[in-house]
Amino acid sequence: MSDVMIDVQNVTKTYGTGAKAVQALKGVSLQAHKGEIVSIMGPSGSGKSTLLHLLGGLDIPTSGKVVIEGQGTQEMGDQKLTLLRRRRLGFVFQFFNLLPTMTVEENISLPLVLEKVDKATIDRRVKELVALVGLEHRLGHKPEELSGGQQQRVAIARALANNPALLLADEPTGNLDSKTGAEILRLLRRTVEEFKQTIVLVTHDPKVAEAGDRIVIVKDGLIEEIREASRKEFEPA
Amino acid sequence: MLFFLRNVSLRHFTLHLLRTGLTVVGIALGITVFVGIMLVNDATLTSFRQMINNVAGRAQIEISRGRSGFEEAVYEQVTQVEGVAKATPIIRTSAFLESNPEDTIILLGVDTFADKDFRTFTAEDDEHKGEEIDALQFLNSPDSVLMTNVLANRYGIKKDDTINLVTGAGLKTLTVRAILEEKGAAKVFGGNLLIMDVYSAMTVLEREGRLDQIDIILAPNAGAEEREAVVSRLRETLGEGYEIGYPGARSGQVENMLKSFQQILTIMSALSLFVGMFLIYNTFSMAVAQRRREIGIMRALGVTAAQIRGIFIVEAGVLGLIGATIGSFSGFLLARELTSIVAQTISTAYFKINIDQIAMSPLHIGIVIALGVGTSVLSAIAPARQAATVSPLEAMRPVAMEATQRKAYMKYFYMGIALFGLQFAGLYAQKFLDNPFVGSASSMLGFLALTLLAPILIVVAGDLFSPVLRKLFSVEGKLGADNLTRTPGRTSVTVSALMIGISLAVAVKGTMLSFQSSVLEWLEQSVTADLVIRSSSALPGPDAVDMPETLGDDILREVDGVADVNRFRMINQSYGGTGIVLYSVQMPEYRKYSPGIWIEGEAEKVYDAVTGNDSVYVSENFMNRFNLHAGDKVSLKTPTGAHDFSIAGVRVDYMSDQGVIGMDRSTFKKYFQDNGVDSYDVFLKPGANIAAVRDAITAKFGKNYRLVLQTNSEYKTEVQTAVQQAFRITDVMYIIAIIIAVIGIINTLMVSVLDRTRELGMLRAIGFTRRQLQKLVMNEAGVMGILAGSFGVLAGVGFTAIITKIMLREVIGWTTPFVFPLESVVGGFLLAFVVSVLASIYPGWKAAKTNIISALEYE
Repeated sequence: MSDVMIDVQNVTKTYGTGAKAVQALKGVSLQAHKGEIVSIMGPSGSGKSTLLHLLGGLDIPTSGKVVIEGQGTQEMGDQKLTLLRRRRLGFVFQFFNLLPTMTVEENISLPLVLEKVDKATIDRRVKELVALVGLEHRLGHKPEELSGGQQQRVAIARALANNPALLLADEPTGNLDSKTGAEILRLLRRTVEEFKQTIVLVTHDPKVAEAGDRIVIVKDGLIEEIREASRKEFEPA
Repeated sequence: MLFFLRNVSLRHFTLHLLRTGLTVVGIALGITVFVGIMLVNDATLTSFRQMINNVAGRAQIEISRGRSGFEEAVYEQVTQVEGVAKATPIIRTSAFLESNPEDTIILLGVDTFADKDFRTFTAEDDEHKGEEIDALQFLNSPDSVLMTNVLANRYGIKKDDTINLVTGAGLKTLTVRAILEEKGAAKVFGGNLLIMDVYSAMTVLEREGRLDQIDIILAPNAGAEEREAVVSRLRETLGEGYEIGYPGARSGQVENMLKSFQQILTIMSALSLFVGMFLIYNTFSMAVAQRRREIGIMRALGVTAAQIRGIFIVEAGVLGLIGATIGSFSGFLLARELTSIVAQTISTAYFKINIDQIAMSPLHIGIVIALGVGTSVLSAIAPARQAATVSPLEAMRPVAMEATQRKAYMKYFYMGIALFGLQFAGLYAQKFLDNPFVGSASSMLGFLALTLLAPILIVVAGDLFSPVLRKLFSVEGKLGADNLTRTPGRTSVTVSALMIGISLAVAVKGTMLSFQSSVLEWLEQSVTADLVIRSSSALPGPDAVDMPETLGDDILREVDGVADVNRFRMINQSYGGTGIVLYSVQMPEYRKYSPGIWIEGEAEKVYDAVTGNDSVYVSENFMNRFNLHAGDKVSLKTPTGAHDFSIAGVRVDYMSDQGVIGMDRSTFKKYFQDNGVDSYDVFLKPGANIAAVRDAITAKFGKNYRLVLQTNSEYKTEVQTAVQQAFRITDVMYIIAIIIAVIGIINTLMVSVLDRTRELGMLRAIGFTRRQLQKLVMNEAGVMGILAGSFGVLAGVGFTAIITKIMLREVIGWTTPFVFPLESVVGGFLLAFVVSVLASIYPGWKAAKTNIISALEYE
């Protein structure tokens, strides 16, 4: 098996029909490899979020192919896509999206519970993850009792719970101050060292984009440029 | 305000079309029940008044004397009294067609010449269509009768057909000489009417020389004073024992009789409206929660707090108006459906009545609109005030996922406890105030108290159910339970509405059960005959067809195996402004078989006292209603004048909700001069074969009298059916209350789903399947159902106790033992659970359909 994680082949995405149709992606091709962080950058309306949705199996392309671990998403139905998301993908959102009624521990274990993993394994895995994100002493807390940065750490831990092959982060620092944002980005880099998963990071912030290995710049539904990132600032401490 | 209504409110109405629609339906349903009951109650009284007017015709004074009537000679005397311009003699009796014993018909004997001045009977005639033809001219031979077109159409009888009529004097064959048009006097008793010549009727009914009634018209221009004078002259001439009254006065007595029945219906219909108010409150609380941002923007732009409040009040008024308009229309339709049930109930419990016209007056419409708009606005006041407190800053705040809010629900908890205290104080005070409305107001307080306790109970229950559902239904179960506790206020109103519906259902069934068991116990002690014989199948009562007194002796003599026969006679006696039941039995026989359940006095002593003496026993409700006890005297108007009877004992008796007096047949005959029999109780010798005795009686006497013979258990079953029948109308009400509550659940779940769109999108993104989201919503609904079910059956059992122990006693004077309604408790709980889960189907489907991408971008 090659180390190609994601293979985007000449993908277009059109919303709506007729005169109202909006072409969000106009033919995009891209590959991401195992253990690589790809930053997708572009102004709002550029199509970067659409691309992320296609990569996350939340939507399927109008034409072209999105292949994740050798499987094309357009051939999968809703049930298969749901299982793909549950087993192979992890999501980190701008607004954290933790469940307010659940504790840190419960939020992190949610994907494992969905997979009906046994209690002992869940406990072990949660312990590993909270150690990784540095929230060992916050297990019993509810999200509202945590700071924004802490909530995002919980969200990252949750996204990693199932050992995903691909982690998708949509403006993960968008709701945080720059210092906390930098910490989160360092944490993401560290998880790649540890678990060797691929990360696709979507942002409009050029500074954040530098946290990736490569930066893909999207504009008006097309890839304008792909270049190496500096990374330096975000090497894990 | 019109600007806001058009540009803000209307847009929200159309934006949330389903919720707006469901709310309007909820208001409309509440109004429907209320209007339905109001119209039926009014129509009942109107029909009765009209019936009295139609029977009375132009008569200004009526003379009658018990069920036995009086000598024909009285008629001559009356015509001689000064001031009497015209008088007409009348015979009135019950009968039925041999082919249709279940349909009682009133046979009226009138004077073919004199009656024209009082009533108009118009014949249907093909040759003279449209012309008024005096039908009485056709009564020229003794076997002639006139039949209403209602009866003629019902049984396919034509002019000149013969009919076989069962009367108190046996089976008679008569000829229909004309069919009466359905107007005037021919409309009374729902058209169940036959007209005969009064003198022919005497012959046919074997009542030679006896009349039941004389109607009188005074000289033209005679005023009230003259009428009073004529009445007192008539009293003087005729002596004691005659009832001399005005036709209109009789309706007052009937209105008194029906008062408690109508009160109970009104209270129950008000509860449906109450449940409707919960729905409105809930809808507006949610609207305020969802529109906080918009309100903030408006406030930031300079809209005043008062204007914000006004927007919501006006919205509530508009929804109330629409709901009330629809509700008046559907209430009218419901009333038409209910008339037959109500008429049947009243006919079983009180007297035969046909409610024919449901009329909606401008006054009714005014009341309904005021009620619809009023309750709607009232329910929206609290949410509107909350809306007015929204700060302009809300406009700037990003809308984040709602966190768990456990505000100070303890405040409501204490208020609830205080209300409970008030309820019990009210129930206690009721003992002294003697006002049934204190009792019903107290029950409402109880419901309100439970509603206030609900938020804290929901939080506690949510915490309790969360781990349980986590085990049972995995994470979607836990999330469902958790969601409830996030908005305890919203959830509690929804749960409370269903709780009230369920408690109504439990209370109705519980009351019926405890009432039925008391009636059964009473029948066990009182109706001990092996066979009950009646003529016609109507339950014994003043409309029953008479049987001759001699029949009893014939049975005793000619049928083997009969040990004893008892004669039962029952009349409507006016007493204390209402109509009570007075019955007589042969005490020497009766005491052998019927121990009775005694409240005051001992069986043996009471039976000794009443046998052959001027003593009676009375029912418990008679005692409570008129505050008369053993040892007191009761004065009764009888055909032989007013007489005092001593009360020897008080016992349980459910024959009438107004009061019952029992006396020995010999005493009854002496004072009431009535030797008719409504039913025979037959007691068998030991070892006698009941089937053989039944066959022998039917063979020997059945043909002529068209006897209906029932065994003890058949008779009891019939009484039980009549009890169930009386409760049928209340079924309609709790079913509608539950429907309104279900609408509330759908509304709440819909908003719960909409509020959490982003959360649902996230769950889908991390791997929740559509089914799991559906299950999540279903779990949420299931917990609501369990809560509403538990509180509902709890409140229902309490309500049953209040009704049976306090309200029935206060309103009717009966004390019925409380019977725990196990079946309805289990049934009510399951019902709450099932309707809740069913109500979650659509919201659950909506949740499952959540578009992940747009949900994640949600604001």
